[in-house]
Amino acid sequence: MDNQRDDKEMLKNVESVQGEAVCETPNKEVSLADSVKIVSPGQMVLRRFFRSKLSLLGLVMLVSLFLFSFLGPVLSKWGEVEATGDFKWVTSILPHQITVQELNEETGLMENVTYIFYEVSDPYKVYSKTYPSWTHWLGTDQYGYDVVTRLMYGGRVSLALGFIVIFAEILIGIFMGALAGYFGGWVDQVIMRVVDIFNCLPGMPILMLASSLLDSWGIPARVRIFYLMGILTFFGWSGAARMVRGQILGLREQEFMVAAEATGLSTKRKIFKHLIPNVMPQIIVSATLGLGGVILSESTLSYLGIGIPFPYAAWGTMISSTSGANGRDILQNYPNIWVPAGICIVFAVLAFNFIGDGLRDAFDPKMRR
Amino acid sequence: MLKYIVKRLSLSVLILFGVSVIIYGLIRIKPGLDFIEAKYYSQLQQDSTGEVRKMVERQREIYGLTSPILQGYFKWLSNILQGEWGNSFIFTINTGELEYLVDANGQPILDGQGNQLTRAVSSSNVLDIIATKSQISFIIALIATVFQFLIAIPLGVISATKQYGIVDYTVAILAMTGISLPSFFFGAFLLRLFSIQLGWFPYAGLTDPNSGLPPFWDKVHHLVLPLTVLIILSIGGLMRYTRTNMLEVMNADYIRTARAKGLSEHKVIYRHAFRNTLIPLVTIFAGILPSLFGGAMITETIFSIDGIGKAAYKAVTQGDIPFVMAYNLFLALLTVIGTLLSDIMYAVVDPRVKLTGGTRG
Repeated sequence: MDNQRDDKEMLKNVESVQGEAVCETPNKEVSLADSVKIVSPGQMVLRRFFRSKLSLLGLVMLVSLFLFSFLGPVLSKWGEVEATGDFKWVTSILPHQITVQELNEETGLMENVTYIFYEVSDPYKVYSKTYPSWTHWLGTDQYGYDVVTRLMYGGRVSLALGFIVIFAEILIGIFMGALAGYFGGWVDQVIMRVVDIFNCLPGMPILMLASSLLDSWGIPARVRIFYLMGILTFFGWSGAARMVRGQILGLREQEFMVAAEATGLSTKRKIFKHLIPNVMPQIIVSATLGLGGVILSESTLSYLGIGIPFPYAAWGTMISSTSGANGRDILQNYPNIWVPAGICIVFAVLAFNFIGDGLRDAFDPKMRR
Repeated sequence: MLKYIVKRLSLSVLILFGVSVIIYGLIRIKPGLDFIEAKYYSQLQQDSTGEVRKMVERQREIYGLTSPILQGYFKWLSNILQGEWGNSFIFTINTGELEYLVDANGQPILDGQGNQLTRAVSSSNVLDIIATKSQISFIIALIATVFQFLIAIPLGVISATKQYGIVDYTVAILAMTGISLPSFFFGAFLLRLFSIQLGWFPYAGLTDPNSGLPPFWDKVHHLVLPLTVLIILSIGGLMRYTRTNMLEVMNADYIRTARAKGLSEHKVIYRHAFRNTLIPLVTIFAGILPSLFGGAMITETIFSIDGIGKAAYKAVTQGDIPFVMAYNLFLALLTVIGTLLSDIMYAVVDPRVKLTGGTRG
């Protein structure tokens, strides 16, 4: 049964490529206008995309993640940096020791006398980690922050940062790639050598170096995320540029470009109206697949403590509480603090990978099924 | 062919030059104290004789920190080209050589039995440290890569032959999950489950004198979890790649011919199709070389394996800039060589590919 449907779909695809108008199983006495259904390439791609179960799964995952991250904080009772967990009032006691010279009344001599006194601070709250409960579904972390709320805000940061970085990377990539591919010659040589250089830079060590620069520049925590986006974009655009250039090199020689040349269109128009729209499918696919990569990079940097700064929430930071001095306790006894964050990262990256894969198959005219 | 290789080699030099500019630039645009002044900061404060100041100035000279950035870069570059890569701030290793001790007059110092006293030679030279530390990383990465190929390629072939079947979907989901796992989370998760909860595998390091196992099996025992992380994370990419190639080959005309002349499906797949999917696989070598020698930064850190990845992580976090610069250049060099090798390999295994001196497509 499935095979039959596939064959029909195949036929439709083939025809719509040629004429955009598709004859759908001509019925006996229906007029031609009724039997013809227009299927635009976009609709075709969408139909093929939704046919795949995996891409559908990815889409559902992504939508639920978006709702969780962007709608969740509105419904959540607690804030991102609102300490709400169990706490104890604690006073700290700081001993001081001073030595003064005093007159010993018995002997009548000056003697060194040591006094010890204690400085007692005002009482302050110390929060403890808690297990899941009805008020805090996933408990609270070592700062008394609600884990579910932190997950939502972490998702906001990761998703927003991912989309902005990929968008910027793609813009630069399109620009550079189109220039290189269209003009060729020395423009191509220069741009592609720069791309090669960026390709050969080791990923993580360089990102770590660059983000530790932010510390020495004294970037305030609130705006640090924007600098982080800049860094990720700066070291990430080369792949998109290479891809766009490769595609444009192939398209440039095709007949429609000769036609565009013959009509005397301006270079700008030829590049932006004729070449780039044809590369769009590949761009969308690589952007979707790249989004997962950006989220992984960001969470790794946050895990290493040089990404999204405390007190702001990030999935990577939540997992990093398992390393360091008190890490063993959290790793061993409080999986509710770090495991959900890891699952969120996998969930997000997986969603983008599923969607990207589905889109690639949907856009690919050779992938008939 | 020769012309092509010469051309590519000169391009590689250009690329490495660019990489070194970026790395040096990243170090130099840090405001405030430079990394050598920061390292000796407390000693400089207590310096009354001026000796420390002199030593610091000498070191700054090596990295070109006393000159403006452009001259400084060329100074550093010329030192690098002459093999002066500098000394690491935090690592020292025994080179394995012994130095015979001599007194002020050049006479050998003898102990009670008349044997000459020796001292193990230690080195902080970043090249020595990279050479030593990358050995253990190389062994681990080699094992991981072998397993990666052994698992990923058959899986890719199977899921291509059973396209859109249950097997294909299952393998796809597992492979994609592997790609999507962050190493730091997966590592921590395995530690929590198998090391803390179940106690099957050790918590950290490579050896444990109390384990009671022979040294070799002790190492294997320690390596199970880190290898699992490395393998699971890398299978997905290769498996998808094999699957795509296999699908492409299965659509080729010669496969139809093979079927038409009545060969068994097994023979068609493994004799005719599979062999041809191996051609694009050689491009994989471009990515493998850096990962073979460059270590796995986060996995090694989580499992406390004293390889080059952990060293690099420690160096970045503790400001050991000479090591960081050398490590980055080392990785870039590996990437360049890997890309070159994979392009040449492509021409070797596929007679249809001709390497010319022209630009790459």
